[in-house]
Amino acid sequence: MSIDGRLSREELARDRPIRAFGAAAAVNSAGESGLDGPQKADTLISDILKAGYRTVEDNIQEGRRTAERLRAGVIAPADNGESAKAVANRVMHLSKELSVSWIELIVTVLRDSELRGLIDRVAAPGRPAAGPSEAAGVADPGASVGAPITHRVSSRQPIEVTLSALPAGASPAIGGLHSLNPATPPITRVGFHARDDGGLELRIDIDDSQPPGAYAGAVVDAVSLRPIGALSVRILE
Amino acid sequence: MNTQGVAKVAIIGGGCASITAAFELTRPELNGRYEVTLYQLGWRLGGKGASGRGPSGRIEEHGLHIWNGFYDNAFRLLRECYAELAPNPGPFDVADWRQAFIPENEIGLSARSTAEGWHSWSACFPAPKGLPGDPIAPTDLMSLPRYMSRAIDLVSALLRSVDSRYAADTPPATGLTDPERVLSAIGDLLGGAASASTAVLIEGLALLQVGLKLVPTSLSSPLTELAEWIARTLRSWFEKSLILTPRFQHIWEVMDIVVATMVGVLRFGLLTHPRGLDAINDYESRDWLRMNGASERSLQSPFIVALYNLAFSYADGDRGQPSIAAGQAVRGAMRMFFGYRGALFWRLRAGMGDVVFAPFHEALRRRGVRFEFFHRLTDARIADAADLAPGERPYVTALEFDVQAKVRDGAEYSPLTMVNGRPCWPSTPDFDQLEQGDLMRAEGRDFESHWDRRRVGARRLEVTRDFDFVVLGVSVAEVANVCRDIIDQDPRWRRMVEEVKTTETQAFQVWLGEDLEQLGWTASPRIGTAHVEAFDTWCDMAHTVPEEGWTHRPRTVVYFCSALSEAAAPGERDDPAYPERRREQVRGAAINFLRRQARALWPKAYDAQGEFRWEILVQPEASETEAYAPRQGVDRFDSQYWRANVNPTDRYVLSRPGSLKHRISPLDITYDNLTIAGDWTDCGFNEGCVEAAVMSGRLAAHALSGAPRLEDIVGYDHP
Repeated sequence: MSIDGRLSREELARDRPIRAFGAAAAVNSAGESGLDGPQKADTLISDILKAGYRTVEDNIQEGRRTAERLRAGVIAPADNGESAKAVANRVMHLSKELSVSWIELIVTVLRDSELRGLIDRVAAPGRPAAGPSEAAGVADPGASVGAPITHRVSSRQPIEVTLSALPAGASPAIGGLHSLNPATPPITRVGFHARDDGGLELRIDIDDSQPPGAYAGAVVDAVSLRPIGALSVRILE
Repeated sequence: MNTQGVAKVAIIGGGCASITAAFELTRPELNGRYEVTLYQLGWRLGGKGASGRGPSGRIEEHGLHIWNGFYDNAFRLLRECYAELAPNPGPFDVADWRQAFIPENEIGLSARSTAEGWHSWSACFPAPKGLPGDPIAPTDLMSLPRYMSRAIDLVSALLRSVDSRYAADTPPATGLTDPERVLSAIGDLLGGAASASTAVLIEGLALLQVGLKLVPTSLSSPLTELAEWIARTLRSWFEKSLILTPRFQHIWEVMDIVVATMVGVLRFGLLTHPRGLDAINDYESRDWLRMNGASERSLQSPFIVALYNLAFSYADGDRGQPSIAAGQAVRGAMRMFFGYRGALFWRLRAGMGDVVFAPFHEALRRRGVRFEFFHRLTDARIADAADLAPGERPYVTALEFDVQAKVRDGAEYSPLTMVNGRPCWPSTPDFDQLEQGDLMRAEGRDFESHWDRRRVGARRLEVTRDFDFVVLGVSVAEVANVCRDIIDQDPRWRRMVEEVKTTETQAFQVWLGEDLEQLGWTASPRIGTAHVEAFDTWCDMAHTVPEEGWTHRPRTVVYFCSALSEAAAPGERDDPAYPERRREQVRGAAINFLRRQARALWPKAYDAQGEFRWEILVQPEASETEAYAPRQGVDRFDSQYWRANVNPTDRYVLSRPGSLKHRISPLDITYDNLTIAGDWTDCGFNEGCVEAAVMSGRLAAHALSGAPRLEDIVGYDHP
């Protein structure tokens, strides 16, 4: 740009660093992948979930083997300390990885209205962001966590379901459960529904063709759109 | 504006930031959009990082320059510079940048002990994968939760190092599916097999992390409680269970500081604060740690003292006034300890001038950058407000210089000299190239001295005719002297030069005829800090001796440096004799150090009468001048090298609490054709160091050209 023959500087898109780490991560992620908008946010959430649950997937079997060895008395008393040490350290490592993934997810979502909107759209597929109560997978109006949540699972395959403790008064919603393998289709027929007694029922329908493995998803509050927990399903072989 | 649409850029100063800006603006990808001329005081590039070759080709530095392993921007640019020169290297040794640095993962800390005098503690840091300057994957980007995770790792490792029942090399975790099972498994599997106290702490650390998952909707409060619980338990456990041997004491101090930082991050809501760590920059670092539970013992520990020493963080150079903004201190510590690659420290194989500035000078020269040495900026003039069109921003109309010397026959000054086949900067200008050079040499002209204002002429550059844009790369201590128009009319700039403080520093180097083992130094670390008051930081630089020009090599050379206490009375700095007086003070302090305090380092450097054996100081072989004539006794020290960094351009930039918000960014567009560059600017990492200067130079280039992208400036977008 030139003013009377004198060159002038262009205005900059921004003139300060991004200090809020969630936003910074989003920017950098977009910068590397060339993604933006909802696609960027979707990728970010997907990556976080995958990173978190990859650890779960990799370690469930090891944990079970260790427990079974202990139960079976395979580990001699003299060996107990060493094995216990190893397990304790593994546990610490696992919990660290999970917590880092979780805190990133939580803070990113809390700070980013775009991501909150995305969560809402995920929670309410096929409809605008506002008004989540009619969406599949969202608790009916007036229903909230207070009484125990019952589970109703439809599956021909053996599965394990783990739902983290949810805060009382929340109206949980979930959009789907994703696998670590991007080629694996997600479990989409999952949701919270109001019971006649005012409590909640978690319904999960799994197709016969759904591959075995671990699937996970974030549970958000349908009103505040804030994440309040997680649901994981493991389809056993 | 010229007809080819090429913008003329005048870069003022030749330090790291200015060189970086020049390198960025002349990248081939920009297709010659910028025609760069760099105006430099005196005869050499480098600013505070300038070095020179003295008698016997010895390397003479401003101080001790060690690059940190997190200097990703600095390493990246240097690697690019070397790669650019490599196909046609000429005399430059640029085939492999790794040959120019020596990785160092061990640092020595010293603390005063009433029972033992000084005792030393060395810390060896692991060598993580990768090298500084390698591309950074998005998954490696640091966030506060990741830093906290690394901090928990560190505390866990230290715990294990204290309690040998917990192996330090236990394989990575495998595990369980959900937090409740994790907690249950800890209880079931540990049982009574391990030390209950250590187990409790390890469990607590796991609980801190599991807690993040258990309470996602209410992040701060429960996590803070957990962290505080860990801190309380850790402190109680330590004081009940461990004997206060120095080794355990230092481990405890590190743990205490790390845990206090974790508590503070949670208490102050920094995980989600839009300003990140900047939110606590009005607190002094020690005060903030104290608020979050750090013990007084830890706050005075060598670990903390080292962090202050490495950044000369003392108001007015007074060790009684440690002063660094808490947010930047935490950021710096996180980058330093959790962000390094390859090695914690990288020592330069030769001088900064040789390894860094000579290759950059050559690369820039090949790109067509012009260097105008012996140009001292005296004023940057700003357009009168009355002359501005509506909406037009103020701009620089003219740059005024003192011309300190002219090159004979109007030739270009050739600044480098050869030592051992390597192009180097000399410690003095090549007077033979200058008009009236013999006279100038005889007069002892000091072109870098703020007090030596002798000149052979003046020069005025006009906007559009001589330049379009200006990169002001002088030190902040010089800004008030050369931007009088701006300072007069702009309160932001005035506040900046008032609040962004600097300190004088001091340094000396001694070449020794005996190596450190012969002198009684038994520890392995070659970098030491937190040591004695006069010169608190030192480094064995034996590896540089072969790079020098000795016929009979000394066994080693050791560099010392520290902040220099400001003793100046009002007006004292106006006295032309001030720099020499300060230099003499440094000489006296160095001699005193060798006579007394160095005994803690080198007990065998003293004779039976307890006097320092001055004969172990190696004198330059080129003794043709009076200055280097053979000397005996304490006078032999005069053959060594020392300096007081008192010039405004030499002063070290501080990061004092409450001051960082007054820094101005290179991206600021208040002045239409002016940007700033230096480690004193608001560059994202606001602490005096090479990396900050390089980041600032990249920002200055971005301000003019839009390149590099801000996302590509490593560490700019950072909590």
